[in-house]
Parts: sequence; C-alpha cells; structure tokens
Amino acid sequence: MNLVKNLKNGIIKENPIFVQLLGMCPTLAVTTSALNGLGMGLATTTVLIGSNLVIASLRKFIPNKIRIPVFIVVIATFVTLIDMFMHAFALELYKSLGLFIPLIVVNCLILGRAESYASKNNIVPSIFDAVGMGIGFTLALTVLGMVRELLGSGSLFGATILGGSFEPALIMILPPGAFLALGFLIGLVNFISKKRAA
Amino acid sequence: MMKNEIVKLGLVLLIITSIAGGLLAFSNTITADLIVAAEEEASSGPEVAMEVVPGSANFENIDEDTVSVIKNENEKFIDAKKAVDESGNVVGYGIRTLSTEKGYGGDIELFVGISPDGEVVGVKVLSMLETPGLGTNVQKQEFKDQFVGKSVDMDIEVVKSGVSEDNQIQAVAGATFSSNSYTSAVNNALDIFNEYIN
Repeated sequence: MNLVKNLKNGIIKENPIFVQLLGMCPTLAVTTSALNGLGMGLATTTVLIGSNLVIASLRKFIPNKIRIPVFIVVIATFVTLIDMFMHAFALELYKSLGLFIPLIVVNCLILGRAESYASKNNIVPSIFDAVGMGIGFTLALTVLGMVRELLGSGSLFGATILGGSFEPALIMILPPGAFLALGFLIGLVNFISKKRAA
Repeated sequence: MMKNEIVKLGLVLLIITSIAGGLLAFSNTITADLIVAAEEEASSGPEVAMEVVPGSANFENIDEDTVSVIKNENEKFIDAKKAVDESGNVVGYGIRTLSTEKGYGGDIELFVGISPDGEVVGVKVLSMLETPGLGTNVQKQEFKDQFVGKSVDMDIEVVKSGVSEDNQIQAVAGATFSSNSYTSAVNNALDIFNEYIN
C-alpha cells in the first residue's frame, strides 16, 4: 500500500517539476519538442532508479561523513553509462539532448532523492520512490515539450498538427517560451490542486 | 582515533570509486567501437550518399593522400568521398566541409554532392546551431534546391530578393546570416572540387 503511495507522491503530490521545482536547467533547456522532453525524462528516470537502488543498498556501508561524495560518484557513474550507451545506440536523441546528458549529474532531483529518501529507506521503497519521481519528471517534461512544440512549430512528436494558415509562435521554442509555458503549467496545476483541496 | 577514521573513510571512498572506475572502463570497451560506427553511419553512410548524390548507393573513400593534402591546405575541409552506384561506377563526389563564414551559432557543417561534370547535385546539413525555426530553415527544400544545377565554375552569391544571374540564390527570409554561412560552405566545397578533385 505504501509503495503505491510512493508512486503517487512523485507523480502528483510532490511532482519534481510542478511542485518541488527541482531540476529546472534541463527542464527549461531541452523541452523544445515533446520527443526531447520524453527522452530527457526517461534518461533521468534511469539514472534516478539506478542511483536510488545503489544508494539504498549501500546505505549502511556508506559513512555519514562522506555520503555526499559517494552519492556524486554513484550518480556520475550512471550518467556516464547512459551517455555512452545512448551515444552508441540512439545517436539522434543523443545529439539533440547534447550537453544536457552530462548535466544530469548535477540535477538536484537525483541528489535530493538520494539524500532525503534512498539513504534512509530500504531498497524496494527506494526504487518505487525513484520510479514515481521519474514518471512525474518525465510527464512534466513531456507535457511542457508538447505545449512548446505545438505552439512553436505547430507539430506534436514531429508530426505536423497545425498546418496551413497557422503561423508558429517562434518564441515558444526559444528560451523565453520555456519560462512562459512552465509558468502557465504550474499555475494550472496549482489551480486544480487548490480546487480539489477546497 | 582521528587518524584511524580518516584512513577508514579514505578506504571506503577508494573502494567505491574503484568499482565505479572499473565499471566505466568495461562499458567503454563495449561501446567505443559502436560509437565510432554509429557516427560514421550517420555522417557518411549510404543514406547520406543517396541524399547528397541522387542515384548513388554508397560512398567510397578516395585516395588518402589527397584527403590529407586538402586537410593541410583548407582548414574548414573535413572529408571527401566518391559516390558510387550499385555496380560500382563513380556517379559523383561528396565533399564534407564547414562554412568559411560564421552563422549565428558558429560554423555550419555540410555534405555537398557534385557530379563528375561539375554541377552541384545535392546538399545535406550535418550539423548546425542556428536559431530553431529561423536559421534552421536553410534545411528546407525550397532553399536547398536552389543549389542544385549550379556550376562549379563560379562562386554562388546570396541575394535578398530578385535572383537575376545564374550563380545567385535567394536568402531565407529573416535568416541572411545563416544563408550566407551555408552558402560559404557550399562555395568552399566548390573550390575544393575545382582545385583537388576535378
């Protein structure tokens, strides 16, 4: 029962993007299209699951005083693995995510979950926590990418939706569009959650 | 007491980093060759050949000495290949080069296809960092197709409107910089073809 709660926690109640506002750098930078958002979300989720798994299983072995360096080493290792395998097997995606793959290392969502959850809990709940947070992150990035791609290029996942007379609002796929879209989405999420609470 | 603790912490960190290092070395040996192959396929594979020199089936290497001579004398040059059809006849040449004039996001990398009798037959963008939706429009068919049929005898000129000469092409609206940069790469390819390959 608690495991389901862990999942829901990451997806809705403590959504990393819309509620906790963690990992803003990749969120704002790579969401120029739905596919980029999805790819970044999945890559981050993989790292998050790996790091939560390793850190939860080593938590009794890692001395408290050096826990942060150990977390960073574990996270950086997973990121480098993803980087290599993505480069070898998904070149297109690798090129469009570019610099932001190595930057997963400093995504505070991952270090945050290691510090506040995985280092204090058992392996199984830690994995569920990672999956929940990962889905929440991926979902948020994909939605943000969809909004920006639809308004900025008139397409969704690369397929033209608003063709013909629709003039794409270029600003939406440029950096300001990221802030605008994110602001409106967070507003919407708050509006809905307030309404439900009332 | 103090000293003991420092040694212990150091040892734990050493063990963890060694395992991480070993894991990375191992996956590097798996992926290194795959990455080289994937990059080669994406930049000079049969699909690129078919697009750059229509009617060809694949690229073949030209003689290595020529390539290294061009590399020494032309710093923007990257590679040259001959395009062959299914029975192995040379149907054109592909020249891979950077632009000599910078665009908004640095150099644009192109593969330019030239027929044996000295006409541009196709151009493909391999990489660029121009403004999405504006400068990246140089990838669109309307712009690209203007280069097809141009002779290698004259440098191509970019005009903003009203193409009047054979060697002129029209810039993408709102993206003169990117158009100039793109054209400078094509012109560099023409020069290389005239000087070393023809």
